[in-house]
Amino acid sequence: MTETTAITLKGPTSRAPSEAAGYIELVGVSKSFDGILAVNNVDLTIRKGELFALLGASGCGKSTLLRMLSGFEQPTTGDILLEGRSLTGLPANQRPFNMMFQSYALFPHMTVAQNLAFGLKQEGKGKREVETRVAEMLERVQMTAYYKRKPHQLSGGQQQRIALARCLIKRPKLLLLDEPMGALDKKLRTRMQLEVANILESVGVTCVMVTHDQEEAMTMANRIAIMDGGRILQVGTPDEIYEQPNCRYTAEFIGSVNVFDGVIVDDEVNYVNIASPQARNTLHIGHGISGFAGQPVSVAVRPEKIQISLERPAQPFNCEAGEVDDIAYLGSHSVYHVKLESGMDVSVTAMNDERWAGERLTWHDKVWVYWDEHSAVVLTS
Amino acid sequence: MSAAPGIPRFSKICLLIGFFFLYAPMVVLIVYSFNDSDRVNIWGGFSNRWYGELFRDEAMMSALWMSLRLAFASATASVVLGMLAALVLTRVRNFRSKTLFGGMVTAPLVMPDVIIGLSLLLLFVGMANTFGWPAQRGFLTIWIAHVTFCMAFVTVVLSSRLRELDKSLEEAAMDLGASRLGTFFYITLPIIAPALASGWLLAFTLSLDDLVIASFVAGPSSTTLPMVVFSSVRLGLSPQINALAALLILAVSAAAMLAYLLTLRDERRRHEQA
Amino acid sequence: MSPARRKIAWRLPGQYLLVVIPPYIWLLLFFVIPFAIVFKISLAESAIAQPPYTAFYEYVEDVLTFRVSFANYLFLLTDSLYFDAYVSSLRIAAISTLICLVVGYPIAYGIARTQGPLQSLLLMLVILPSWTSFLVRIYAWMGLLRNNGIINSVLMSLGVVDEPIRMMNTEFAVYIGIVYTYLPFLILPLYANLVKLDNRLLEAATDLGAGPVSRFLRITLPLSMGGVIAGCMLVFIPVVGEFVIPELLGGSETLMIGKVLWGEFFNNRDWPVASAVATVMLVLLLIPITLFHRYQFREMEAND
Repeated sequence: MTETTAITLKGPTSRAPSEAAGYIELVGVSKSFDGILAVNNVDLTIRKGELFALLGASGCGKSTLLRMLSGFEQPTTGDILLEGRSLTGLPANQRPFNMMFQSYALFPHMTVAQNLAFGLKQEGKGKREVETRVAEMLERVQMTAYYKRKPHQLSGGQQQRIALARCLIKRPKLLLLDEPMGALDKKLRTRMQLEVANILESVGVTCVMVTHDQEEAMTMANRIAIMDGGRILQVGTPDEIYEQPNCRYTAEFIGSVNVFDGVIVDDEVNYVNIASPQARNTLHIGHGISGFAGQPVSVAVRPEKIQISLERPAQPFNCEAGEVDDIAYLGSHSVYHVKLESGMDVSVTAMNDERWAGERLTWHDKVWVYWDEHSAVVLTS
Repeated sequence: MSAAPGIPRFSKICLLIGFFFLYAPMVVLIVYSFNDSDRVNIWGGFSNRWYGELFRDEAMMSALWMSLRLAFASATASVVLGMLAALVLTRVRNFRSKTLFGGMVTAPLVMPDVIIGLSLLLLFVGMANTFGWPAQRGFLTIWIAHVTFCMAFVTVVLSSRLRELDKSLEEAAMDLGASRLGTFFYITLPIIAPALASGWLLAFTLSLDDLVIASFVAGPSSTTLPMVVFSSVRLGLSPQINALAALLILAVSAAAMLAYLLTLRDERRRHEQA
Repeated sequence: MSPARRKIAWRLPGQYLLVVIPPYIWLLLFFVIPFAIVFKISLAESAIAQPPYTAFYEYVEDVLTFRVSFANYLFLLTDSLYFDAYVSSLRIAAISTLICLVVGYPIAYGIARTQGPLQSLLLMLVILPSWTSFLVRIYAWMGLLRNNGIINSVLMSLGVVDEPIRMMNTEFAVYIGIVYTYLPFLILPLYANLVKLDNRLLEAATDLGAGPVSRFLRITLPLSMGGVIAGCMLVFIPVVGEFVIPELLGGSETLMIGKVLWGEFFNNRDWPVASAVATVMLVLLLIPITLFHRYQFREMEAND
């Protein structure tokens, strides 16, 4: 991590999730409320020491999953295991898991120090130990000077650090973060993402966070699970999720993407050709996908992987003619919306890597868009 | 003091007239309680002799003492029961007879006093005939009656406060290892304490004020202050009642002022937290 | 249903049993069962006994015999006094509810549109009178309304009238007393409702060309309907059974069912007829009470 943040790193400097078997395992977990499935048969393995993000739109079941981990809800069917032992039936106050709430839920009638001490007092820890651990934790989150304050006398970022500290002081086996940056404004959010990630790293705690913000998940998490309709669609590292989405929902949820619908023409070991009514020329991908001829598939290409030019490129495939329909100038880069001859809209991102680069193309220019054989992804679902 | 620009002038006029209507009679009453004349409506100079006579009236004083004890006991019990009822309404998941429970809690808010009074008296008479208890009607029976209807008002006050309370505070406490009971005593109770206090005060004044229900369920030996006042007022105006009324108005205003300051502080604190 | 599910379903109420049971039992015992007893006694006959009514059942030659009589209800139907009292109670309650609404709505609206500490102060000024003794407030009006009371004295000394206007012991005095006593009960729920009204809705309506009248009729009023109903029911229902106000301010001229019930019970000592009067009143009030309950329960219950 960078040296610019104020927190000193005490733990290992990079997260090294153990590759050993699952630390926390969810086996066929479902939850229904009044007959409506909120979480549908989820299998998930969380490794020790990793920061795992559940990412999805609101109502996708991610919060219910988190509440089942915390013990506020019990699964309708299925089981949650911690190091191989079932947690079913164990209520929240008996689980070695702690949750940082979206609203932080700092007790308004207690001081910062009393908030931190609360969890330890519930464990029946002695006065001495409580005092030392509170002091240690305040030091770690750099809030020592504020120990006498009431929560409403703290800024948003400070409140968040106290909320985090109140969980960590219990040395939980799993830390749950519910939309950790949800209550902060955008500027503060970027700073706190790094700060929180640093604190977590220095402690080395295993973490599951829930968020609807892909940027937050990509910045903070080691692995991400994409959820929709109560199911987990894909689990992977941030770059796996982005570069190798396994379905259309994931591809479209993370970043923006151009999707061509078509059928497989021929599928060999080292390439696959796809014909799409939305493209004049063949869509060619430089690896096989073990499909069959005639199988309906989608081809996804990210806007930044597409080139745009006034001249026709040399390649016979993955290139289409069109007309510039709209240009969004975003400073560092511009997004061109190109209407292909087939009528499909394709968006293309181009870096404005020199001044006035954005003026090279203008509205209604006849252009060519093209991309490399390794740039597109074939989606079968 | 800045009136928002959004208040229509019509509303402002209504507010002024409304407050005049509400307060003028009480002001007149207080002024005339210092009237030296025996005749209530003729000003005979300033005097506080009616206050002296009021305090020398033993029947009045013993009824006042009875009413105060009763109000204290009723308020305390109805805060306990109302707290439980509010918890049931806001914190317990739906159970089969929750609607019936809700009906039982809300109905006393509007039920005419004569119906509550009559029905409770008939219950007490029936119970006395069947079980021999309560053998005599008095403090205990009035207390039961007052708790029953005060509890409904306390429940309304507390459940609206509990509903506003961020549930994640209680969940956080449980998450940190507190039991349900511990969560209630360490987190919920301290946070809603101002609402608890104003609920108690409300129940206290309701009990102190009740005439009809107490008249039904009181025994021959137990007389509350409103009963004494009523029988005296029925016969016409009496300067002594003027003095008593003035004292009551002042006492209640002081209590209300206190409750107002409490809630104001609570609200301000909550705003700061938000 | 899976075994796990069943286990949870059992456990949840168990933890709360201690919370649910005390208020539940209390209300059942002291609020619901008494109504059943009132109904039971309304079917008995008056008797010179202790208590003064015939038994619901007795053993006649070792046979359990129930004695049920509808005579009291028939009596209520035949004697026009009761019918007139019910009608007059409902009419007085309806008219005074309407007056309270007309007076209270602008006040509630004005307070809801005020901001800051002034709002809390105004609100407290509305509540404060309802915390002072109810009897005292009625008593204050007795002093004002009498023939030789303050209002008449002032009017006569100003030469507006030559002889006192008779206000005490009229329905006018009853209306004054009811509006005076019950106005805060209408203002409070209405205020609670209006204060939640999003001002941007009114701005949007203005933006779309609505004038003040149309804004009120088409935005504010429909959105505050819940508060209007709750407030009106909080006035209407208790006023139907009101005893003290008609007794002290209305004199013998005003007929209200609460007074009739009181008279039957305390003066005539006819408990069965009093019970029948109460039962009929309760039946009449069932619909307004249900209306009120639906609103209030929704307000009180956690809505998630």
